[in-house]
This record gives sequence, C-alpha cells and structure tokens, in this order.
Amino acid sequence: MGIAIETSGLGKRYGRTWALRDCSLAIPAGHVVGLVGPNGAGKTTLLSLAVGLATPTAGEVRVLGGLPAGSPAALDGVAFMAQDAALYRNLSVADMLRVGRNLNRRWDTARAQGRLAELGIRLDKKVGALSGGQRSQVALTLALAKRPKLLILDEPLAALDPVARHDFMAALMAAVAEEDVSVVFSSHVVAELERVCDYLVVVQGGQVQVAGEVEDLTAGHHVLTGPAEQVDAIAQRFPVVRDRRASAQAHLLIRTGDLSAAPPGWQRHPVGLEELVLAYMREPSASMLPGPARARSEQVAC
Amino acid sequence: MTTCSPPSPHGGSLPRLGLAWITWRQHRFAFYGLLGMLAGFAILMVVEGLRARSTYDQLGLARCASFSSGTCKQLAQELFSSYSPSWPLMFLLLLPGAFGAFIGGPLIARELEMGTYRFAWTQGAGRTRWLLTKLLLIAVVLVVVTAAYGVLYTWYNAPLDHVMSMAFGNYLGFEFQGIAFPVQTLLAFTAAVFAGLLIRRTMITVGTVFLASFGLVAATVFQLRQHYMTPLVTAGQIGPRDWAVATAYVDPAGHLLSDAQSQSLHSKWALLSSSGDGLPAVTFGNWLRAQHYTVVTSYHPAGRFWPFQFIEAGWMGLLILLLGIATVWLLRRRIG
Repeated sequence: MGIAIETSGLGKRYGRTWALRDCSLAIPAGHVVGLVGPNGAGKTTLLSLAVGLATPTAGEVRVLGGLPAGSPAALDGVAFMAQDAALYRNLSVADMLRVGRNLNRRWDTARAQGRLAELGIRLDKKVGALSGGQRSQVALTLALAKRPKLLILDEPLAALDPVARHDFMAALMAAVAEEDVSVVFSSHVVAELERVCDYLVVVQGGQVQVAGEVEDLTAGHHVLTGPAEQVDAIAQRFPVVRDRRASAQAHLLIRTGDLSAAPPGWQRHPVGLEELVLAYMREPSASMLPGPARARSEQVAC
Repeated sequence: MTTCSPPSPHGGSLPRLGLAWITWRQHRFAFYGLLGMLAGFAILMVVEGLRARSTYDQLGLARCASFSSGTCKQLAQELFSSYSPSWPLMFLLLLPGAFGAFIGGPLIARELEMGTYRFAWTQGAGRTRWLLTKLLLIAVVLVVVTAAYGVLYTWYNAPLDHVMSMAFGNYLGFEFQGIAFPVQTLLAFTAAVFAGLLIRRTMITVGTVFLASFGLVAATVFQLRQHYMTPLVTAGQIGPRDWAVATAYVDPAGHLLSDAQSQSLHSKWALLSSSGDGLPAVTFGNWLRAQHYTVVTSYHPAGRFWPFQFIEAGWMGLLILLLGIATVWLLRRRIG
C-alpha cells in the first residue's frame, strides 16, 4: 500500500495566526480516514493544502505516493468534496454533471447518472432547489465520477440531518466497497466515526495530536480503574491521557500497547473510539505527549 | 503510483471545448446583457444611418465636389442638422467600464464569494487553464463585439464624415473608427477580473471597477489623449481634419504669451472697443493683427490618427498584460 497523504513540516499561516503548524504525517492508502478535531482546529486547512487549494507557508504536502498537492497529476487522481457541497446553485443537476465532465480527463458519465437515478434525484432540477442531503449526494456523485484514487471530503456531514447523514455515509461506504479508493473525511461529529473509519487523525490547535489505525489505537489504550492514591505510581509507568477521579476512585485512560494484565488493585477496561477521541480532544495538553508509540515511529512526528 | 495516467472512459484528455462550454454556460447571461445594451445603440444607428443616406441623396450632395463654400456648404449644413443629436451616443463613454465590470467582475469574485472555487479549481483541468480559457474566450468575444460596433458607427457616420471634415480628436470618431473602444473595454475587463480576485465580493468589485474605468476613460478622452505627442504650432490655417488643441498669441518681438498675458491683452481690447472713443469696433483677431501680434494654433496633424491610436492601445495593452499576468500569478498562489 502506498501513501495517500504525506506532509512534512507542513504549516499554513493566515495573517499572524498559524492555522496549521509543523505537521508531519503519513496516511497510508486504502483506508477510510477520519480527521477529527474541534472547530478551528485546522482540519479544513489541512485538507485545502492536500487538494492544492491553499499553498503551504512552510513544508510540503504530497498525495498518492509522492505527487505534489495541486499538480495536474494530483488533480486527476484526487476528488474533493468541499464543505456545504460548493456546487453552482443556479445550474441544473444535468448541467452540473456536464461541468464536471468538461473539467476532467477521467469521467464516468454512466456511473454518475446511474447513481442519481438510484437516489431519485431529477437531472432537470436546479442544484439550489435540492435538499441539503440531495445536494451532498450530487456532490459525492461528482466526486466519484472522476474515479479518484483518493477522495477527500471536508465536513460532509455538518449540514445534514440524521437521516441524510446515515444515507450519505451508506452511499460513501458502498462506493468505497466497490473499488480501490482511499477516503479522508473531516468531521467534528465523533459518534459517526467508529462505524466507518479504520484510521484516525486527531487535529487540535493547528497540530496533529493522534494518528493511527483505529484497531491499534483502541488496542493501545486502556481504561484503568483503581484507588486514587496509587495514581502517581501508574502515571510513572504509563502515559496518562485522562485522569478522572470520583471520590477515592480514579479512572485513568492510559496509552500502552503491551498491558498484559492490570496492576494489582486495578481493573482494566477496553476503550471505545469515541471515548478515546473525546479524551484527547478534552486534553489539549496531551498533544505535548508523543503520539501512540507504533504510530509515532512510522507515521507521526508533529 | 508516481505517474497517474490510467485508461479512462474518455480518452485521457480534457473534452474538446469543455472549458469553452463552461465559459458559455456561466457567462451567457452577461453576454446577452452585453448584446442587449449594444442592440439599443445599434438600432438607433442603423435607423439614423439609413435616414442620413436618403437625406444625402435627396439633397443631391453626391453632385458636389467640394463642401467648403457656396450651395454645397449649405447643403452639408442641412445634412448635419438632419442627423439626430449625437448626445445619446455620449453614453458610449460608459460602455467600456460597464462591459468590463459586469463581465469581468464576477469571473473570480463570484466563485470566491459563493465558495464554488473549491469545486472548480480542484478538478482535473486545474485553475490556471480554467482562468486562461475564460480570459481568452471572453476577451475575444469582447473584441469582436466592440470592433463590430466600431464598424457600425463608421457606416452610420460615413455620409456626414464625407461632407463635413471633423478633427480626428473628436471623441466619437476617435473611439469608434480605430481600436480605442475594444482596447478600453479589454482594459476594464482585465482590471475587473483582477480586482475581483483581490476584493472577493462581486457587487463591490463591479461597482468599483465600473466607476474607476469610467473615470479613466473620461480622463483619457478629455485630458490625457491630447498629450500623446507634442503638438505642432502654426500661424496659418490648419487642415479640416487636424486636431487643434490650443491657440496662443505671439507678440511683435516673437515671444509666445503666457495665459495671463493673453488674458490682459484681451481685457485691453475689450476696454478699448467698448469705451466708445471713436475707434471702429474691430474683432479681437483684426485688432491683434493691427498691433502686430500673431495668432498661433497648436494642433495635431490629421496623419497622427493612427499613431495616437497605437499610443493609446500601447499603454493600455501594457496594463492589460500586466493585470493579466498578475491575475494568473495571484490565482496560482494566493487562494485558500
């Protein structure tokens, strides 16, 4: 498997503010990658840099195994679905498809029309007259018609109601299952992730906090429950991501790959992805800690 | 995976005329607007042009060899007064700014404002090709339409132009019988595209560029243009198509008088001729000649029509080029 997105020392500054800073990251191809973080964390900036809409202030970003982001070859292989779909609202769906066909070297008209027919979206309707969910589906259809190797979606779920969210993710997953495409999508809706992502990147304050395969992340983190007075001893042995106390009891989220057994007097529980992500997002200071051990050595150095 | 040229459903290259279709689809209403505005003036000119031709025939002006004196001069005057007043045509002064701003302003600003640039510039064609195609196609259309307009004006004005020689600096003639109109329109268009990239708001861009272009065109027509070359000076008569830009007086010693001196000379004559001291009323000119002053005229000879056209096209063309390059450069690096 190649690399879908690779950044080194990547930074983007708007005015005096660094939206993204000193980011080195390698996301392997063949995954469905969730990029999460609070609003303003730098998710959109990172994705804009990856599709070549923005130019880096520092460092560089490459896609599809080494193509500079935004280069002609990269634009051919990467499809981007921007936040709020970003389509021409005054055009009909048919004209929008035609715009897409005319702007791309690779284009699968039959697939696009087939998808829209399945979804029951009429071609003669104006894009602006569609519901939010339909508009997202049209945008996804346009992105998939390029037959991309890498599909990047910026907050595809943000503007959708729960039903449309579900339908959109189902459509996305069906498309991924059909062929060999890497997907990177950003979201601040953490709950959706567990079902669809097998790789996770957490961004906070313009920096990458966590990156790794979901399996590794959940296997590499544990919740330990035990007496509060022994917390220091535990903290010396394992990095503690979250320390939550309830009277004499402490619930620690620790990071370690090889925890064969809980320390005496402590109970070990597995951790869910949502809990894990929320713990990191609540503890911006955890970004000072190195990322998960396995992931850090091969993928992350932010 | 370092090279990316897989077989594709349609041939691995961009559809022929694909971007042209997009340009048409997105800007056709602006184009209809352009034609609509011009159609109004065009109808006026066609009707008036036909009417002038029939008047020309009725008056029998074809039989005249010269229009400088006698009956033929009178007939020429009659033809002149039969033309409808040309003041509606002065609105044409607004057109380069209007076309440029309304067609060029939204080109980038609207994409930025609506966010659709995130779709348009992440497709396989790339943003540079997207911009260049649009710029070139619209520029060609603007040149064709405005040049056709020049031809129509020339036709409309031909009977009058034949019997009455106008100075070549005369506004409408200079705009429409050369390349000034298309070039001004292109300048306003390029400036609007560039401004849209900086301002990022369609209506503000259109308004700003419209006013600025109108100001520039007006300044060019009424101030700048006569300074393109140093005028010649003569004490004699100038030709009918020469463009007189100023008159001045030379005293008996051969010195050119300043404006203040000329003014005081004129006051002196006014005082003398109104004092009623027995002097017969003389015209200022004759009085001056009697005092051994000479009247000289600064003018641009008629042969300078094309040099003036090229000078105007030259500096505006340079601006167009610079604005175009700046737009492409900025678009490639500054967005996002």
